[in-house]
Amino acid sequence: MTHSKQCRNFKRNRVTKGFFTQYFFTLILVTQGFLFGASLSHAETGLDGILLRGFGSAGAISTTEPIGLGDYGGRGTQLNLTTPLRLGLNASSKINEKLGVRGQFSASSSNSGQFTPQFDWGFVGWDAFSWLQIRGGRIIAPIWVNSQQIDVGYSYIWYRPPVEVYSLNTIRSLNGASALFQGNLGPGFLTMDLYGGEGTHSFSQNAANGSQTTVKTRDGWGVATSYSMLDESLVLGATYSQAHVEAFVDIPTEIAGAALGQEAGVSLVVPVRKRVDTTFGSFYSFSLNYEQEGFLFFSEYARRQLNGLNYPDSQGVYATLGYRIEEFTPHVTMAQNFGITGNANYHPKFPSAAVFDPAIQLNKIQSIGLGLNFMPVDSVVIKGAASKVQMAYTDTTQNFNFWVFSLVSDFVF
Amino acid sequence: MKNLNLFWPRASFVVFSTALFFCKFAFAEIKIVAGKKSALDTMTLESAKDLYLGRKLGGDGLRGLKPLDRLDSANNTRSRFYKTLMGWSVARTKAHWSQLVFTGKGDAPQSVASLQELVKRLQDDEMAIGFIAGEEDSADLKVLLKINE
Repeated sequence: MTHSKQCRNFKRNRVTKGFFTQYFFTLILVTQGFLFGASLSHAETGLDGILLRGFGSAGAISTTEPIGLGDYGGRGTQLNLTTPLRLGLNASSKINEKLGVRGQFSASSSNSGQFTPQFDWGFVGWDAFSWLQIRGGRIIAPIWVNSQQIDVGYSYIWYRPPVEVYSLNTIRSLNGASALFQGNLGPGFLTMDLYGGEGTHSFSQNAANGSQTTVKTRDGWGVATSYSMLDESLVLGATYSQAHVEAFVDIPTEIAGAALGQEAGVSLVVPVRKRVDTTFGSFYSFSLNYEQEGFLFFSEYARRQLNGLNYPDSQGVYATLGYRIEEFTPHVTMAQNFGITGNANYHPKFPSAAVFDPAIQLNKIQSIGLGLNFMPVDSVVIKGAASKVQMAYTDTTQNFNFWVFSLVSDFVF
Repeated sequence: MKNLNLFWPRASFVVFSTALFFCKFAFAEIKIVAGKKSALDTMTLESAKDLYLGRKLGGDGLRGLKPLDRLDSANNTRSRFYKTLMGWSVARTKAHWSQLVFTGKGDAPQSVASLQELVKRLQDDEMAIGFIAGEEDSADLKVLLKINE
């Protein structure tokens, strides 16, 4: 199917979807999220020896040019950091005074509309001392500072953490071990997580042609630290990690049946795997968060150093300013991704472009977003936001601007 | 002359009520409490902060303590407590706990629905720690720390 045909089809779908249907559905989802969170917020679930807690998000995100804007929660193709509908369950239990088990499952709506459950992380932790815990299992990968609970919308101010920074590496968990140090140091409190292991993350690469990307890391290790002081008002964070990185793309491809030993005239669609990158990579980030007397400031700079063709060296930064006024928190976020990012050819207008097309290279993404959060009860946040995103290409005639609108309800119970 | 007669009673009332108003705040306090069976007799402000921030305490008698949160809105005790102890709103406190819990780095305090439930939990569990407002009855409890608001 040609690009122009796809665009025409897309436009036709967009028109038939209808204004009323879209916004009515959004309203229903947000209301459901709010009611669900409010009803559960006072119903802590404590089974014998097992403590259960949960989180969720419901709502809708729309873009003015939604072709292939998975990063922004649209009809996604790429590194999808958040989906409008998500539910998660977290369980912890003590085996004895020093040994415990923790785990987390979540289920989220995919681009195809299916609700897919996944095992986020789970480990056995041994409290060697009050200041040291040793863990083994599937551990959280703290590759960046402010993205370690990226699925739990309630715990951060945005409807999703800035894509310009956190799409640089979307590995969220590793099969491995870690040592978590926590204790008072000088005028503040230090947390240091030293970890190692290997991880895999698969995501929809391209909604139009159904391709799937899988990123694998092996022989990885890293360290994530944070230091809080001034009564927790100021939190400084830093991370470093490195690993061998491999990336594959599975592209559904139509193959004549005769070539596969089938009868002539029949064609089959089979996933054809292409290795797009294998390289050594290192990742580091710095963050500064400040919150005092209602005023808040969050920021993080992140960099990945890779020599890959499709996942080359890149860096991003953002800053968020906000002010809490009773139940309301207005905020503004400026974010930028410098240098070539994501797939070199990634362009929302041409979602089915060849994976290795070097003609269209993404140079920079900039966004500015305004948001207003409302907390009707202390376990539910309703977030409305509008962001203007600009994508700049080496060929400036391909530059691409669009708006992202979101209305999301995040809750914990 | 009639107006002059009313001046001093009115002025006295205003001064007296203002004094009462400030006295209320001068003596308003929050108490950190435990059950009578608790091995603890006192607690420092720093330990109380660490406990409710979800940090593990390592000192004698402090290891394994279980902080309790209150969901009831009686006397605004919950919001007053977190504002007094950490300078935080309840919302910010819950956001902090959710970061701990959902990154597997720690636990949030378990919650009780009322003062009566708090007292029962403290009496039943010697490792449990809770908080009450200064004006709430602490006769059945051991007061570990008083914090002026």
